[in-house]
Amino acid sequence: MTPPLTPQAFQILLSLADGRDLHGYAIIQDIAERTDREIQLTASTLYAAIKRMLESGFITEVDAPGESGGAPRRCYRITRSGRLLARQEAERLARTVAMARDKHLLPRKA
Amino acid sequence: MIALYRLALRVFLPSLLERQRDEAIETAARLAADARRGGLDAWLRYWLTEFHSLARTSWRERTPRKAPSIMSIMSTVVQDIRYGLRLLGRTPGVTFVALLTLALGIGANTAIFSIVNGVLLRPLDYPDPDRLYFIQHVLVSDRTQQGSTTPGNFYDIQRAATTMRLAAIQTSTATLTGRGEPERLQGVGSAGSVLEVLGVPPQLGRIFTEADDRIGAPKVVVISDRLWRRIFDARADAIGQTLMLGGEPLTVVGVMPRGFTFPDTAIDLWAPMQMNAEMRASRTEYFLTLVGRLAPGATPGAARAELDAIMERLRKEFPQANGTLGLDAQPLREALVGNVSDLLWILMASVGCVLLIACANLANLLLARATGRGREIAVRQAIGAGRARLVRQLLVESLLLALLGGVVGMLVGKLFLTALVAWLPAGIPRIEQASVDMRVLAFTLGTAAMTGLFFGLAPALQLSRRAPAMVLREDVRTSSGRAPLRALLVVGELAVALVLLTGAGLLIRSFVLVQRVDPGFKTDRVLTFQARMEGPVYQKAPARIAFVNGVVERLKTLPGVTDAAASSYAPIVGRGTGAWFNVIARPWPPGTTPPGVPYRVITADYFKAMQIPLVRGRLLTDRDGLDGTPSVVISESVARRFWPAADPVGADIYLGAPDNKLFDRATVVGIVKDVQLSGLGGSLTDAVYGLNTLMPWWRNFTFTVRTSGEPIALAGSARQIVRDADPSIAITGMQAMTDIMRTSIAPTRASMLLLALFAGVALVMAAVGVFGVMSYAVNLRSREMGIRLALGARPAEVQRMVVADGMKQALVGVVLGAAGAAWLTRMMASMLFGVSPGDPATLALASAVLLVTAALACYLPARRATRVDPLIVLRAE
Repeated sequence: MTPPLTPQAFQILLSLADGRDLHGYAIIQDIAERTDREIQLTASTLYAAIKRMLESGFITEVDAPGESGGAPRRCYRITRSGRLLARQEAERLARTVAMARDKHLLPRKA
Repeated sequence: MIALYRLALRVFLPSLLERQRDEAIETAARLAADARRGGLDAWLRYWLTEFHSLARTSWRERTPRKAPSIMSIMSTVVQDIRYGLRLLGRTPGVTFVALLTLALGIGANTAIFSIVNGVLLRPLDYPDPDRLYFIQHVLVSDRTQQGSTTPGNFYDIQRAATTMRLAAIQTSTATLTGRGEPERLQGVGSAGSVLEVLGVPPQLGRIFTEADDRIGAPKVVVISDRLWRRIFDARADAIGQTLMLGGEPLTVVGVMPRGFTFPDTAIDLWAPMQMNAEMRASRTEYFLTLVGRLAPGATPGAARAELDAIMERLRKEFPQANGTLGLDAQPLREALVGNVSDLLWILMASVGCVLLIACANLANLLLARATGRGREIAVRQAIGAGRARLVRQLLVESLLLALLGGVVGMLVGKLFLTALVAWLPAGIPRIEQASVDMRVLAFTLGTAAMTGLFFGLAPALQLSRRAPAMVLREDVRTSSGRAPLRALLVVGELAVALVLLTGAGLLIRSFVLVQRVDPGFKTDRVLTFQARMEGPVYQKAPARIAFVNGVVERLKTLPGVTDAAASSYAPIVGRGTGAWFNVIARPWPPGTTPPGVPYRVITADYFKAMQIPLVRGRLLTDRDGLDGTPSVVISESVARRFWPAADPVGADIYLGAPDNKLFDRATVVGIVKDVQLSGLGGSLTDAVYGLNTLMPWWRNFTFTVRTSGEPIALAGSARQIVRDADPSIAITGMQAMTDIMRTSIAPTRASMLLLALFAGVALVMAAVGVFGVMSYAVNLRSREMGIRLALGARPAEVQRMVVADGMKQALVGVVLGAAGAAWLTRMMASMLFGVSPGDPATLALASAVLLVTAALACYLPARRATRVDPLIVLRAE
């Protein structure tokens, strides 16, 4: 059975889905922008989720492309299984949305 | 904030790798910086969300851990705390009662401890206070009898002592004139320099030195910070100014720092006495107390040995003056605090007992709640929770409760302390030192923690001891209702309550007995005030006699005044002077020290005004002074002491030493009833009364005015009469005699009320404890009761059975408590009057009160037991 995916984790995977390597702060920023600040992760939530997804192999760590100064920062990259998981979740959501449309909760697609 | 976050991360998300933690912190810092641009508000809100989400995440993340590291234990403790908090929130009633009990109990302990700390524990505010001593004469035969020393002895001891630096003091009052209304100030006169001995530097100017005490040196005075602010508005040019004190100009040379007190807070002046050569040599006038500081390197033992050696020599040199006297050096702090320490420790112990009882009740409360949770705990045990883990969980819960109670108790304690200090009678030394400091804080937190352990341990141990399978299988209703732990707690709190009740009972009886003591005169409707004649006008005796008798005569003419008189001291107040008592026909053997007897200088109508009854002979008249036939009146106790078998009337006596007589010869013309001189219940009743024309050198008089109406209403007119006679004389202590009586028993009254309050609270709490345990037992046994009733037991029998069960515990408690009370109340001996510590009647009464209360507390649950409907109980099976 697929482990449950929290909305936060799904959003993190979405941020990484187009193949970019992002560090933590950038992920939070990206999610906030995409969701019109509806979902604003805190550092604690983010890293707790990152730790879990690293352990499950949905994302991996990569070295950041040479930024100037400071300690080398870690970036996160989505893995094949992570992408699969995100797609499953997206499909599940799509099915959910379709159901909502059938029940006239949402307008039919134009 | 970052550091806090780092710590929180470690505790709440211990699974995060070091590197991840660093990253999380860095990210949080950047987010916080972003938020900061939106204002302080947004920044705060950000951190709140951050910590909140961290706590939530941690709750989701919790997983069983393999090897317990410090971090993991910490995190489980955090988990326990979180769990405990939720539990407290889930039973708000229990939590509220527990918190209230704790806050009041810990608050009362904090308040009393603050006073104990300030009065007894905090060091005196002098450099090296432990090297300071009070030195007084004691009788060689009875070292508890302390007394003052003479100038002759002081200067000899000071010259000879190498282990101590010494000064001598006498507290007195002086009238300040020339700065508004004349007023009386309290001061310390010093032979040598007591300020040098104490070693506290002045805040302004200089202290006086031994050189200032030389005969003929300029007259100087050092004043308190309080007086400096009041009279000189804290101006620096106060130094060098002149104060008219007692009609003499004294130059202010220094101001002591704020908060400096010696020997008590009432003192505003310190000045060298500058006794004349004749006075310095006196061996018969006892009015000095020595203050000494150990010389560098000297030990207390060496100093005492040296003082003894010096005194040995003085006994041989002046056998008549010193034959019976030794010297005793008492640490200054002990001397200043005096017998208050007994009272304070007893109050501390009592309030501690109250908290102990409160703890027992809380333990019972938590036991009851924990029993309700028996299943939950059994389940946790069954699925693998270790016993240690469970005990810890339960202990954390009670500690949490106790610490919350401690924090609230701290605040309550501060309130109690303020109220208590305002309420306590004046005269507790160093009470101004009572405040909440670090030591009090530590005490409160320590008490709270101990409390938590005490009331938390019982439920924790009991619960975790039971085998889970038993609890799960067991139906609560079928349990026997036996709970040895609960019974133990009830027995304990009843015993402690009995000790407190007995203590309070003893004090109440003492108080009643003290109030019944006959003071020896009629106390109501008497106005008293003091006036002291100072300055060159009163150098001559006729001026003094004229002033005193003139004021008395004019007081008698006031409407509403039935009589007026003056005396050197009022009775009851415990102040006075004494002198050697000599019967001229029976001189004391040479070389022995004659016994001292208190004497009073009075005007002729004193006995009439005070309504002191005559026993034999006659009272004094105006013609009994030096200018007529010198006569005295003695008290019954003096008559008994010196003429056990004969009639003293007609005997000739003199007071004082052969070379220093107060008067040469006077005839005893009458005997009056004993009057209490040193407070109600005091032991002092000996008195020799002589007219102010017999002892005309006396300058300080207490006027007593007997009135037909409210005495204090005449205060204004009395004041006016003195002002008309001499506007430079200050009046002090204007009050009704009944107020003096009240002040004299105020300390007894205060300690009685406090202890009675504690005992009352203890009694109520013990009753609540018995009630709680009995109700619980009845609940558990309702099925048994139902069966008994169904089988035909009469309700009265069931009721009796329940009460008897409870009373068994109560009896055990009373027996233990009685033993404890008999032993512990011995510490109260010094506070009791007319009743001995182990007084059986008091103990019996206290036991009866406790037993009746316990019976009542058992009766209510017992009645409920009879109301059990057998059908309902049996059907519930």
